[in-house]
Amino acid sequence: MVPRPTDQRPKTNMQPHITDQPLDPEALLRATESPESGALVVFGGTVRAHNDGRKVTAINYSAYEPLAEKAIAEIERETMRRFDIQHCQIRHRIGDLAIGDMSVLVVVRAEHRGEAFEAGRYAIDTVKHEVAIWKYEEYEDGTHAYVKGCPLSHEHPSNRRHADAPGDEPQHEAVER
Amino acid sequence: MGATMTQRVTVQCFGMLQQVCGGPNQEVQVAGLPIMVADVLKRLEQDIPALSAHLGHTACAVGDHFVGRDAYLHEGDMLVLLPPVSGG
Repeated sequence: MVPRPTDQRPKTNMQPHITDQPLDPEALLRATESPESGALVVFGGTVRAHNDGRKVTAINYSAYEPLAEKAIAEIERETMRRFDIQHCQIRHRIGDLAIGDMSVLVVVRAEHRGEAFEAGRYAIDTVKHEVAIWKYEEYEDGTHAYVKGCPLSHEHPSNRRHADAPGDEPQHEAVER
Repeated sequence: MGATMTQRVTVQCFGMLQQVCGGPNQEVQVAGLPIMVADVLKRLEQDIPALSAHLGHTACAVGDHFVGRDAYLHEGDMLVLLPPVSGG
């Protein structure tokens, strides 16, 4: 049986994980304040001006939101399960982003730095491999291409392969928009 | 719904599959519902032969759930095709 589509935004968190608004690290720091934590790791991914030898001028990010929301919420929960940490919060921006704009934000708080770093690394790696989001790069010469990505696996999270595959090489078929 | 009646399944594509299919939404005519995901993909490949090279690494979803190729689509279900992802 195919599960029937339900609400398009699962209520897994008070805030959507996917947004078309600029990401706000300060807000996530406030939301995760914790006297139990001695370590805070913040990872931000920003739009880079080059990729695979080509000059990138902008990136459009698109998402299949019903699944992407759910996947990011699950990655937060899985990161909490795997590591001895107090908080893991992840946000991803979609839409048209300029060079330097922040596309993804991960905030981890833990008692000690070791777990915080490891958890943050796990969270961002897993986001890059398991969330239904696509980069569409615009190049200096006016062409565009979707960035080559990682096939989605949809096994149970405990069986999921580790996020270690290469990505981010653009596909060769650049086309005019 | 009579079994001989022609019905439509909407297929929504993301990422580079939008380029392969020439747009985000495709309508597939089917003999009746429910229909297996694999059969809808077979029909779609007939219309868009270039899709064949991509289906091996394409995931399928309905709503907020992944579905296998052996799942059945019912009336109102939209089949979503998800190519390899590149967020971050």
